[in-house]
Amino acid sequence: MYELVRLKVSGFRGFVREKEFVFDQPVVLLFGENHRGKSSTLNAVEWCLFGDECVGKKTGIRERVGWEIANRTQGDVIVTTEFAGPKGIYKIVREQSVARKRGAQKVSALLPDGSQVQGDDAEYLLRALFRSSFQDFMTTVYQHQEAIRAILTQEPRDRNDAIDRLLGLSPYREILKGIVATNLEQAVNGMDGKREDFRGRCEQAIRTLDNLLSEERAKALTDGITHEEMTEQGALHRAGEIAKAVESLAKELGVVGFKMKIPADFKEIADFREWVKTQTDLLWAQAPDVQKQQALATERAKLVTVKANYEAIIADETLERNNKVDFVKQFGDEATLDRAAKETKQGTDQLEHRIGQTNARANLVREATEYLGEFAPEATKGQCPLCGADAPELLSHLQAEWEEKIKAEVEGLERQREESRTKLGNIQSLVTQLRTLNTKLEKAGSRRQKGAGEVAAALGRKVGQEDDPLALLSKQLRQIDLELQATNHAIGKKRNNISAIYEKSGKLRAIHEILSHELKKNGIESIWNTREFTELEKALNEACQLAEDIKAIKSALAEAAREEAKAKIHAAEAALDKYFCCIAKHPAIPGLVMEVTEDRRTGLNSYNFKSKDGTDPTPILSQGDLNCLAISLFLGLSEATGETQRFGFLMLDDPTQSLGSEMKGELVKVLEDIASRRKLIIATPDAEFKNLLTVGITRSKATYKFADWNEKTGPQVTGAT
Amino acid sequence: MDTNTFQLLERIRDRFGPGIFGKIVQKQLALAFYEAGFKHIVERGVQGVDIDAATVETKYALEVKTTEARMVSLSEENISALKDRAKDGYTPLVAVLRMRMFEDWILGAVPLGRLEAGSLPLSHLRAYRLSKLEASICPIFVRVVNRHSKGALAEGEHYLMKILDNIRQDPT
Repeated sequence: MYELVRLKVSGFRGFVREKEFVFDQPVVLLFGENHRGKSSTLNAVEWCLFGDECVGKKTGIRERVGWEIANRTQGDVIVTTEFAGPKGIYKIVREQSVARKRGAQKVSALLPDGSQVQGDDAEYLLRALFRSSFQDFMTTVYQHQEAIRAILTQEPRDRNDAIDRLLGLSPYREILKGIVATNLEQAVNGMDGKREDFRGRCEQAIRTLDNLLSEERAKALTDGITHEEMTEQGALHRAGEIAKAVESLAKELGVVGFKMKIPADFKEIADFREWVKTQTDLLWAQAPDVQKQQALATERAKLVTVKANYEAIIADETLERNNKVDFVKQFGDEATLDRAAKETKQGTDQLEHRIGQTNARANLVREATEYLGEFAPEATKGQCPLCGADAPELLSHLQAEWEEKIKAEVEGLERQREESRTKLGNIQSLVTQLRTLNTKLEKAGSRRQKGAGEVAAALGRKVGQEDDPLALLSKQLRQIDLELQATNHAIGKKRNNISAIYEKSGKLRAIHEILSHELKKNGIESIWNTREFTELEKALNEACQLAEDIKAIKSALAEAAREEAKAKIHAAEAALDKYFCCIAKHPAIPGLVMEVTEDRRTGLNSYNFKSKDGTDPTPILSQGDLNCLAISLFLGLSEATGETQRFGFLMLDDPTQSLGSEMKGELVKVLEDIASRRKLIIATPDAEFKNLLTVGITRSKATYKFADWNEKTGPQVTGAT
Repeated sequence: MDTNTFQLLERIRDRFGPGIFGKIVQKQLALAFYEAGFKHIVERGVQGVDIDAATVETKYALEVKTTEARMVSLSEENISALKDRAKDGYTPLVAVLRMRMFEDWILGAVPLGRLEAGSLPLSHLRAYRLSKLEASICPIFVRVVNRHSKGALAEGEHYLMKILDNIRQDPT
């Protein structure tokens, strides 16, 4: 057994100046309010022994993540511990300097024989001497206040986490959590899924191409293409035949300097087909017969157009002439109309004269009537106003003359005059119409003459008055038709050759399509045999292997964690039950049994507590009970180490966090029992607990009082008293 | 597997249905093993593992499955049969042909302790593939399928049983 006898702390966490603690009594109390440096004192012992092992996430203690070792003011850290062993005092010094590289520490051990080891040798010595890992130390020597705080949770998963920590199984738990967090299986499934997507797309493409090929082959067979021809050799053979046919056509058409092209392989067939089309069209266009045919066709089209135009002109002139004939028939010719106009004019003039005469007399009668009626003195009203002769009824006679004769005569003459004027107007209009008809007929005649000129130009000869242009055109057209017939006949055979080339080329296109689709299909199939795809398959297999291996590792780790938990619980079982019953004194829980099972989902340890009467105590466990459970488990585990435990002391940090007065009293009784076998170092801010310890522990005690803390000097520690 | 062979297998499956097709494929696989040099071939239609295939040095016991999905079902009987053959020195193999284009046989030597009745994802089987054996068997399987396609399409498994009987009578 190795007893902690002395501790010197400088620059460690809250410590600034060096503080020395002497643990020469069976029980040492570190008493003071929170944040005064009690826990740091215990942590210093731990750090001196284990260095960086007690820092960070790997410890399983949340508070240790980002844990600062060096005091912010002091910087350099020196912690010295002295352990009394069977052979004497072992002095261990761990230092961390600001000047050194970050995290670099220096450790040395001075042995009872005066020899000193340093660095890795010192680390090795510590392991060999105490035979304890950090996890063992945390589980069986140093009860962390965080361990109790974590177990006080009601959340089963967090409590399982805390118990694993109490049992020193956090590394298992962290690795298992890490494995779960990698989601490796999901990643592998994702890879497999992508492969399946790709495979599905390839399958879809192959099936589409198969359907296409099936239709194309059926059509090709219908078109007389044999299965043998639906090959690259077949296509090349057919291409050779087409090339020869094109060459033969060139000779037949009399084209000189023709160069034949034959595709060397399948890839050149598409270009070859384009070449055949271009060359065939070119040859055809260059052929003399074809050129003559085209010239005749052009000439014929031109003459047909000229003839159509001339026919339209003739028809137009005929129409104009007929219109004039009809007019003359109906209204007479120019002379007739002129005569009628002259006669009508004379009649009108005569009527004008007569109206003048009548109007003169009428004015005389009207003025005499007005004079007699309005201006003549009454005495002269029976006399003629001109000669003064007696005319007793002159006014009435004149009035009757006006009404009965003059008015009717004037009106009759005026009517006749109007009728005569209208007739004259009509005759003048007819004259105008006839002139218009004459003009139109003259224009039609001019157009006919112009048309005859066009016919002459089209025919390339003079067309005189004595010639019938239409007859000349018809004759020329008949001649062209005869020539065209002869030319068509002459090139008919050649056209058949062209058609044969086109047909062969069409079949070559069909074969080319089939072969192209087969090539595409082969291309898709070949992907699966490429080196890249083979590598991909291999990688997928390896990923699956990795996933299976990790699964196996996870399973083995989970089993190891469970087995170790079972073993530790079994070893601590009796003490756990004894201490829990003793401290908690729960009336409804006669005794406590702890079991561990596997969480099927995560593979992590799951802890269950059973009351000895078979009931589940969990729902009735208070915070105090859970605190008792945690402390009992720690004490149980430390007891279970028995003779194998090299450390002869226990360090308890704030063990009464949720305990009531009665439970504290019972805990003191348990500690009194343990103090007979182990030195106890107890840190507490609990004055009641301190008093209970002072009274209840019969072994001699020393107390360090942590009164105050400030930035410049660190904790103000007094004692030991 | 090339698409033509796959489509040939599809025709056989469509002709006989998935149940008989499984038996046909099993016999074709047995023939492929025989042609690959496994002169001792036992192909079972009923109880026990589906195929024993052995040379002087190597002995395999195969549980043969066909599926379209990305997993196969293994029964307690299948596992038990494999365990029985393992006791006789045979290496237990789960042979799966996924009947989808571009897929091939997966011959997986899954440790017996890892085999559980129920669904076995093919991604798990992939982890235990015997790649060299697959590389040897798969091309031969393609040849077997094509060579015996007419007989298999016409007579189904009976035709292949006759071929296997002939082999048994004259293994040379």
